[in-house]
Amino acid sequence: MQKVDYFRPETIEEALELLAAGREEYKILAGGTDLVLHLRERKVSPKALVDITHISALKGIREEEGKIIIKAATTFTEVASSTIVLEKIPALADACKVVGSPQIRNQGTIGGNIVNASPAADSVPALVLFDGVARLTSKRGTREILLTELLQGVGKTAIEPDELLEEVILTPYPGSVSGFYKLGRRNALAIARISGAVELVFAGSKIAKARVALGSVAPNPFRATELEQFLNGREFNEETKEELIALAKNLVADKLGSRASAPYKREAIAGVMREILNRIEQRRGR
Amino acid sequence: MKKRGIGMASIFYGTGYGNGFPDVSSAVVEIHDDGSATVLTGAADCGQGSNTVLAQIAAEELGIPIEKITLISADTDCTPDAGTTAATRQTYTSGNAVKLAAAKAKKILLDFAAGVLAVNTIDGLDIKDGYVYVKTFPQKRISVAELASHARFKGNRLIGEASFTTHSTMVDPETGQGAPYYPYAFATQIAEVEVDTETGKVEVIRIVAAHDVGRAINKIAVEGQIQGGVAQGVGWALTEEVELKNGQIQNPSFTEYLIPTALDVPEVTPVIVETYEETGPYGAKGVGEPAMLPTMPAILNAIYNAVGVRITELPATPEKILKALKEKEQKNA
Repeated sequence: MQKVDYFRPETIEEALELLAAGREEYKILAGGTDLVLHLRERKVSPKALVDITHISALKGIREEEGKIIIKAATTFTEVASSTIVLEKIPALADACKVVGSPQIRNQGTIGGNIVNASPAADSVPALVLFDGVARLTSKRGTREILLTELLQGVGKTAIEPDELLEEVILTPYPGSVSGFYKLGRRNALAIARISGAVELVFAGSKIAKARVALGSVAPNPFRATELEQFLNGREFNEETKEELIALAKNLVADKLGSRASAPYKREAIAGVMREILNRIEQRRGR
Repeated sequence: MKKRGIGMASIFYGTGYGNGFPDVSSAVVEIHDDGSATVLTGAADCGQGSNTVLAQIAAEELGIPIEKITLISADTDCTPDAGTTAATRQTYTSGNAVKLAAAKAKKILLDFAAGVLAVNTIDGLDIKDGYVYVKTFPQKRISVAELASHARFKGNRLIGEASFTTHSTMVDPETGQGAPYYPYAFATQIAEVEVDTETGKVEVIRIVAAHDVGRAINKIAVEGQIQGGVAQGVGWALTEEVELKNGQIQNPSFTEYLIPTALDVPEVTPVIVETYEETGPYGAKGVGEPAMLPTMPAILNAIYNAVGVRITELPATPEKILKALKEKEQKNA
């Protein structure tokens, strides 16, 4: 690994000063579960690392007027065991529970998962599902941007070099039930081959509102608006499930086109959707 | 839909190098003045437990508690060659070498004891719990420690060394006929799997693994070897594949070459079937490689039982299973 300077600010202001001074040549270090590998492989070679894990203002989860705000340096373990997350947005708990291994979940952060912009980022479909908005801060000021706009392709984001991802703001539908499932090649330490998250609000036997997000079938996780429109107002029954699965297969086929993984993924999405719907059904009964 | 199936596979497997290849283990055993003993063996314990098993064999042969055994293994400075830890051979081949070496050291001690205890042959003597005693008159006894120091001060060295060669016969190079191995290991495993017909994902629920190990010198170690072998077999069946492109390995690290994690290994129920292998140390033979062999075919049979498709190329990936299911569907249509 190359020689690199290391800073450990204890406030957001200190971190922003460093990022402004360092411009493109400084990199933010959080859990390091992606960045340290990139350093070792020399995919990135920053002059300095700005370690944000000692900034207490960047940790924690809170609920505010129906919104759930997760600070960027909160670890997957913390998210997966948060009562707020488990009760209000269980799809995100499902997603954070299957990241890598216990060691990676203790180290890796929600913010890191977003900014790394991997197509297979485990938590991102669940963040996108709840209309996730990123709050970016720099010495120049603060702005909010939808995650679906922040993510701009494999490994690419709209974040400026002097900006710090401070938190992500989620807006679940009140009274919703949600679930997430990831299909990997094994049950731990696996990269998602397909992942998906669904949020439903029920009105009697009908679906009043629906959100659907998919991962690992496009450059970044995205909202499947076609599937959401289909679900709105439908009865939640076997027929609807089968139709949804058929539509999901078409959508994945469209997204992947002639990619080598397409013949498998456009079939396997069926099992992924079914597992998510099973989880929602189990939670709905509670 | 998730479908369950059960599959079974049985194997027999020739242990040792086989085919007339030199298959030799050597060992040295020395009894000390304090009634303890040292075993020198070249056998490398890579975690399977040969150090424990060889110490148990030496203690049993010498008639002293295992706590009195110091075993030095796999040190080219001082241990005699015991071949490789491979071919399911250390318990059998090195076990026999240690047993023979211990018996030689013991004989020197008993020859000296015959005089001390006033018996005219050593046939009437044995050692148990650290005492040499007269079989027909057990009250007449003397501790190994006392005897060993006496013997040494009289100029005796209580050292035994021995080699054991595993019998094997070269096959006829023209016809390939012959009996290359001895002894053979036998095993049967039963696998229960759950196959997701939409994702092609296989979950191994349970493996029952019955193994003929001759006699189990150390039951916990045998069970550990069976469980470890099954875990390897699961990887062999479902995920492990060396991907080659123009002679270059495409997945040379464990991030891409996927072995089972703790969450992928099923519940394993080892069943130790004890026979008695006449040529083995206390009737024992090996279990190392046989433990993984039936797992893969048992899983493939269970997949067939669950969803009716035969996977004939390893590993049985979700892609291959979905493809086979699709082909089956088209054939039936």
